[in-house]
Amino acid sequence: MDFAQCSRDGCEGRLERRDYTARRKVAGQRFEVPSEVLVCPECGREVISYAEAHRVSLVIAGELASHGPLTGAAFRHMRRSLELTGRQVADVLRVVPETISRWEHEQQAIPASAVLLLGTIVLESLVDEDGRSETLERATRLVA
Amino acid sequence: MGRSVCDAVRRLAEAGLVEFDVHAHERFEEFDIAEEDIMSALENAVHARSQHRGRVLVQGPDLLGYELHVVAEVSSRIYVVTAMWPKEE
Repeated sequence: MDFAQCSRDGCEGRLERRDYTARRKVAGQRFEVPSEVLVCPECGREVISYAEAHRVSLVIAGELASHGPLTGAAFRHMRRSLELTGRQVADVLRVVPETISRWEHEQQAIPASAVLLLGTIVLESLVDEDGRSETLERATRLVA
Repeated sequence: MGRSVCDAVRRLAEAGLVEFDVHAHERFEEFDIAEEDIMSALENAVHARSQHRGRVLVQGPDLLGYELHVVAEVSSRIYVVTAMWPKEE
């Protein structure tokens, strides 16, 4: 992926990497994750690539998977960080997609087993070089 | 314009060529918008219409299937300026 050149129309600047601390509040908790942005010295445009933003998201999901809380907001963040649709999670957990929405909006209690399973998938994805999870692959196979 | 821009948006998103304005990115959590939902809307864009200053309004589904609107500049990459749920516009 070429993120070397500034994307602003007509700008010839070459992007430079700069350290950045991503600050997020998820499920009532504040997180600070060391990250990096790309800055154009010509026009001043500052961007964060999707890959980097997604990495930050997964790091926070790992913290939630390890330490909780077991809330709908935490569940939603973990699902999103895995780039899973409501349908995909619903299939693996053997519920209807509307149930996932109710859990995430805290209209219905989430079974601890569902949070633990999603958390396991997050933690496996974090340590795998390609972001894969054996548990997710096995669960997907079993319910197919 | 709609279809060809939509195709370009989907192609660039599938290739991972998406970047966010840092200041906009810092505000996504205020509106409960995740980067992954924006990516989903771009990869599955169903509508794109031009706005002022060379920007494009892209409509597509988030990971739960809800419509999400993304304002972006589309060149060799997608530069995301902002995103919003339709009711917030």
